[in-house]
Amino acid sequence: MVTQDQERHVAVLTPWYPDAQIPFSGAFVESMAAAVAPGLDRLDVFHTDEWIVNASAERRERIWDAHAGMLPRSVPPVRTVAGARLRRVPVILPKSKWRDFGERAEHHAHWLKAALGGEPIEAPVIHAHVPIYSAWAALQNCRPDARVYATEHASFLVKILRQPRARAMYDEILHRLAGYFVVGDVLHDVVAGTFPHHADKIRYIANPIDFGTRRAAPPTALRRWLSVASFKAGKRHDHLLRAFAACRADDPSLTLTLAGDGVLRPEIEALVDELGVREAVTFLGMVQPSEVPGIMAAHDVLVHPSAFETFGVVAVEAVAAGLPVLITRCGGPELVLDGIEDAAGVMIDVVDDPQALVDGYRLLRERYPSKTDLEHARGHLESKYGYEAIGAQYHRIWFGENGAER
Amino acid sequence: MNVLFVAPSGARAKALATETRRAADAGHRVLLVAESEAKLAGHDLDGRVETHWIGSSAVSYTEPAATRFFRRKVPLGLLRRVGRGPLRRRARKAAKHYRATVIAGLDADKKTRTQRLRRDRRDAVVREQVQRWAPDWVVLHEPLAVEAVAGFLPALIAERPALRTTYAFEELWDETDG
Repeated sequence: MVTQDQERHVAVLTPWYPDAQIPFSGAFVESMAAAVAPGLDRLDVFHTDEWIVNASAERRERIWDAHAGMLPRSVPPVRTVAGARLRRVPVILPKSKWRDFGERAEHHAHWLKAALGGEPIEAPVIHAHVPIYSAWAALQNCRPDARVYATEHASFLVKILRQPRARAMYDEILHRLAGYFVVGDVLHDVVAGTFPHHADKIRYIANPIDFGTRRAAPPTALRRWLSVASFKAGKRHDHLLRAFAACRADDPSLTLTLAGDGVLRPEIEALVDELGVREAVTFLGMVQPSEVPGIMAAHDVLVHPSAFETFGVVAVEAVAAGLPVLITRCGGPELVLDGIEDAAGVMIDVVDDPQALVDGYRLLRERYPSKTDLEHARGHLESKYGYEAIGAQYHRIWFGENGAER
Repeated sequence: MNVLFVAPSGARAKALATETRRAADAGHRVLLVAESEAKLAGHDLDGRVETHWIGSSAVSYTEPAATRFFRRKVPLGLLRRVGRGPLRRRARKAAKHYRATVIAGLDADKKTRTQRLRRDRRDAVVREQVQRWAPDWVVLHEPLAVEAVAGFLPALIAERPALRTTYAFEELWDETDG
C-alpha cells in the first residue's frame, strides 16, 4: 500500500481515449481521469492506440525499425483533463494479427516499452482499463514495486477468453494484479465462471458520471423521447422505432431523437420511412460526450431497449440530467438502478416483442410524476457515481482506507 | 514553425481537419500531404492549410502489349471462334477455366504492380515534400504515414535532432498545467 508521505503519482493505461477523430471513444476513461486527478500529485494517461499496417513482411521490418526509433521522441505529454499528462502511443500491428487478442496484447506491451525508451512507467500505482491490452502492457512495463490494478469494460470479453493464449494471459494478469474490477454483473459472471480460482478477487467499480448539467425543471409530459446509442444490432433500434410508432398512433405529439450512428443507419432510416414516422424522428448523428447532458436535458424521457449492457452509463446520465428512464434489464442497468428502479422510471425485461416497450411507456406515463422520485434517484446515483464519489473510491483502492482524505 | 502533416490516405480525415486548423490557429504554417482532396471531402479543411496532393490513384501498371495480345486476346478470341462450332460447350468451359486461372493471375499481377507503383509514388512524394518544405514539426497522422517515412525520416532525424515528430497535433503539456 502506498503510504501518505509518498508521492501520489498514478498512471492510467487505456486502449481507448477520446481524440479528434472519435471524441466519444473511451470517454469513460477521460471521466475517470477527471474524477481521480484532484488529490493526486501527478496523473499520467497512456493511450495505446492500435494502428493497423498492411505491408509485406520485408517492408514491415523496415517500418517496425523506424517506428521503434521514432516512438520515444514522438510521444510528448499533451494536455487532457484536470492537469493530467496524456501520451498517445501508436501500437502498430500487422493486419494478419487483428483477430489474435494475445498477439495484440503483446504489441501493446512492446510498443509501450519502445515509447518509454525501455524505462519502466514511473508511477508506483497503475490503473489499466481493458486488462488484456493495458494490464498486460502495464505488467510488462511497471517498476518492480509498482501496484497494478485493472478494470474490465470490454463487451467482447467472451471472445477474448475463447482464445486459449489470451485466456492464459488473462489468468496470469489476474494472478499478478493488486486489484481487479468490473463494471457490471455480466462481466463479473464471465470472469468468475472462467477463472473460479480468481472469483474472490473480482470487485465492482463504476464509471464516473457528470452530474453538472440538468433540466431547469422536471419534464411535464413524456413526449420527447430520446435514445443515445450506437446503431448496432444489440441496441435494438427496430424495437424502439416500432414501439414509438405504436405509441405515436395514440399520441401524435410524440417525437423521437436518435443520438448515435453506425452500420445499421440505412436500415434504421428505412424502417423510419416504412413506419411513416419520418416527420417525428430526428437523427443527431454521433454526438460528443460533452454534448450528451445538454441533449438529455432538452428531452422528456430516455428510452433504451438494449439487449445487453455491461454497465448502463446512459441510464445514469439520463437521471443525472433530470429525465425518467424506460430501460431494459439487460445486465448493467438493473445493477446501476438497484433500489431506485421505481423512482427513476420503468424497467422492462429483454423480450423479443416491441409491445413490451409500448406497455412500459404506458406504465411510465401512468406512474410519472407522482409515483416516481427523480430527485431521490438523482441524489442516490450521484452519491454512487458522481465524480467525487468515484474519485474517492479509487483513492481508497490505491492509497488505503484513508486515501481519499487529502 | 513549419508543421507538415503526413496523411497519405486521409484515414483520420475528421481529426486531420481539426488538428490542421488547430495548428494554423496556433500561428504555424501548415502543409498537408495527402492522397487527394476527394479523400477529405465533407471535412472542411481550413483555408490556411497548404496542400500537396499525392495523386497516386492516377498511376497504374500498364501491361505489355504482347501480354495483352498473346495471353488475353488471342486465347479467348480463339476459344470464342471455336465456340461458334459444334464444340460450343467445351469452348465455353475452357474459356471459363482460362479466365479463372490465367486471366485472374494476370489481373492479380497487374493489381500488385499497380499497388507497388502507387506506394512508390506515395513514398517518393512524401519524401520530396519533407525535403522541399524543411519542416520543423512532422505529424505522422496515420499508419500509412509511418510506412511512407520509414525509409528516410530516421536518417533525417539523425541529421536534424531538433526536428519534432508526433502522431497528432495536440496542445503540449507544460509544468503550469500540473
